Amino acid sequence: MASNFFQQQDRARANSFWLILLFIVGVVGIVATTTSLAYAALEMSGSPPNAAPDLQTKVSVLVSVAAGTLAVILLGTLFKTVSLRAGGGTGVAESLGGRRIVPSTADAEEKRILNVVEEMAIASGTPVPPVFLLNEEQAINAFAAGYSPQDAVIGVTRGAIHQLNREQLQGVIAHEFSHILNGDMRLGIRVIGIIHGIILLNLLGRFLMRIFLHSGSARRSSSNKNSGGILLAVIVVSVALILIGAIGSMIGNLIKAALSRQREYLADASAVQFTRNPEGLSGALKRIGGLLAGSRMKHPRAAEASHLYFACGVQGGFASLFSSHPPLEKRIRAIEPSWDGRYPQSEGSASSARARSMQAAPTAAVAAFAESPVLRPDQVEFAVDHVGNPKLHHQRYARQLLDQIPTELAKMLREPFSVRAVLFAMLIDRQNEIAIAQFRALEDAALDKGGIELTRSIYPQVLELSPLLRLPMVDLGIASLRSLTAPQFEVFDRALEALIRADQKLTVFEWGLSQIIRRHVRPEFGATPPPKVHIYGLQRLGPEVSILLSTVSHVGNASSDSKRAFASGAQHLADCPLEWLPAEECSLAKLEQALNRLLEVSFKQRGRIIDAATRIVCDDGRVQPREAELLRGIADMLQAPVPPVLPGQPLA
Amino acid sequence: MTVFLTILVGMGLFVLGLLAYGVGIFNRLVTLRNRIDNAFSQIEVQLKRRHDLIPNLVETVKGYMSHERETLEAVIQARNQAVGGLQQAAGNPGSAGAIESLAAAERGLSGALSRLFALAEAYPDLKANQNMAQLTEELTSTENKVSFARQAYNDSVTEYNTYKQTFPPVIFANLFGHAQDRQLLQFEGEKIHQVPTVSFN
Repeated sequence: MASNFFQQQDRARANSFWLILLFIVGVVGIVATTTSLAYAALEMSGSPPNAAPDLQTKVSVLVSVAAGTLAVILLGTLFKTVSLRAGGGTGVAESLGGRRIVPSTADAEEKRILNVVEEMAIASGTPVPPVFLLNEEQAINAFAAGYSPQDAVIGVTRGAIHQLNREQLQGVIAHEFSHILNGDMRLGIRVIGIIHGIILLNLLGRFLMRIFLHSGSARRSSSNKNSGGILLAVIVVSVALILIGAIGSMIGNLIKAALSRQREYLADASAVQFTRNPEGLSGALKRIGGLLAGSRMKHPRAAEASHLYFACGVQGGFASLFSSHPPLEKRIRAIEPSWDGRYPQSEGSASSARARSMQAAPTAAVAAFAESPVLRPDQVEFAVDHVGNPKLHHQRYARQLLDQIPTELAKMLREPFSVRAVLFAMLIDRQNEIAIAQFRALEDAALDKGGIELTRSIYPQVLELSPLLRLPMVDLGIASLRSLTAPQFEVFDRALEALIRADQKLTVFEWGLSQIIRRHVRPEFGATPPPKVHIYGLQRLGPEVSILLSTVSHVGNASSDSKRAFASGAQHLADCPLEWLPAEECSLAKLEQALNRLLEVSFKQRGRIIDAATRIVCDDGRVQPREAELLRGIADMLQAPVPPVLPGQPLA
Repeated sequence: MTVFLTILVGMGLFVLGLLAYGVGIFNRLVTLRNRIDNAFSQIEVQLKRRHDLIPNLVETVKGYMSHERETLEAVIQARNQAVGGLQQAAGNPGSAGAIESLAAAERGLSGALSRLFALAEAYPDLKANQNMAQLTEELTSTENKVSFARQAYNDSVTEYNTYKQTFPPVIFANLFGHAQDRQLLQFEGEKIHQVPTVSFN
């Protein structure tokens, strides 16, 4: 079932658990070593009988050494982790000198990479992440940054978009997307934090040493035997700190590198799975091998993000042991065993190959799509099967969906000024009186005149669109919303809320839209810490899961059918005491409360809940856009990217 | 002696903390400054679009308004100045002078354009022209986008300047090469700042 993505997420978390444990053991070891060295030094220095320090002094020295060591490590870890998390993906990309690619760009290469990212995002059911360009970097590389899928961004070098053709870019972007979906960034940030703490020990040792050499030489003239003993003790401690810090951080870096290499293979494998096109990815890797600049980045702070790159971003010390990425040859052979080992000589750009692949625009008709806005149930189930694991046909379908959106509207969705108008227009009611009230609400929310005018001029057109396009349009617009500034977003958010309230009812789409915006745009303007996962079974969550499944059963079912539909989903959650609730007891507000609680549940159990909800939706053999939107809203709140539902798609 | 050692370790910790804090401030300053440059590049895109539209507009209008040569020339000249101003500001977005002269040039362009549109009211044929209607629409929508992008730019400038002037960063800002405040970009005539003249005659 929908377990692949969730297992990946769970495994990433479990991995990080063992890793953290390993590091804790390491830290305890470091503290113990420092303290015992300090003890030894004290014993040595305390040998003159007249100046032997009493027991109490000894203990207090040892305690302060242990506490000090621990404090340094914790402080360093905390600081680094917080600062890495603070800016989210945007912060990392900006600190590397990235420039956000605006969709209105006239540059054909920039346009193409945006298209590739959009297709991949829609195909995997995540909002389109912002794309940053490192314009100065001629090497071929790319990175994904951010703490969670919600605040992730993608960065590419100028070299990458210049040298690679469309298929190769697709491979690279798929690789980055699997980093995002596999939760690798979270893992990386934790490890870097701890290593930073250990490095601080080394710095502290050097600092102590310097001070003591200074004060020691100043005091030697007074030749005090006792201070000589202490001096010796401190020198021993600082040398120990320097050594332990250096060795500790080296071992830490070794672990980090080994882990990172493992995740790279995984990301390569999933990228091939996403695109069903090994040549794209291996072609990109070969180009890196054939290029003089390779994948090496020039930016002074490039090393800080080394774990995020597509290929080795910085030269990794003396041995491949410290390399954050497996060697190119190995990665290529893993994807393409029959490779002859020769790299292409890169001359200029891959323009001929590009011209060819650009012609290969999708020509497939989308007849099934236009005919019926009602989806077949196997399509939904199919989508849930591929949570976090989009396939090639998802990408084709994504391209088709994107082509269905009128060009003018698609252009507006990619632009921060007009994206607001399109989203507002989707919420305007068909009835005239309500629409008038809604426009008044927009004015009251102090939205700028230009925005209101644009909304007014496009909403008749937007109303005519197929409901199936609503979610993809939202996904497409998220990236532009994320480039608003905080004050602009506040106005937008207020206007959106006013608009949703103005029609006196909360529709499923309105609810879904505000959920998606809350999950994917709000974190950009002030971090909301993700809730801690601490529930691993559903036994005690009967009421919450009941509300969720009952709500799903009521949307798109008459009351008599809804009970049966509910039962068909409930039988898959036998370990959870479930009870069907009548429509009066279900509301979207209650659903939201329930979902907030369910966020504390492990990913594996969340996958089961989404499976059950899918069964309910599919029970009557028809899936309405409303149901698909609710499902997407729920999956989104549970932080599971669900690929779009494919009409006319054979079950895989 | 242990007291001495404890104080020393404490001092070491304090210095390390201070160092870490300084690094944090440094990074934040850089990030905020990069954000301003990003915001500026968004304005640049829209302004370029605006500048590209104007020759078309003048070309369309020319046939109808041959008597208004001066106004048309004024528009062209204002447009060229604005193009120059944009180039300068894009080359050196940190300079307050460049930003100010860009703002002045854009203000001049807006003024010349509004005179042109006011005159165009007197030519019904021109108003009926399909091309003209399209260009006007395009210019208005570009104008809206410019003002939105400008708002974003000013927001990020304000955030940067404010952060720079708050207490702990203000000590380091100069040291880290963030001496100058960035300049806000104002296109509208500064009507608010003009003191109304009151006469008691």
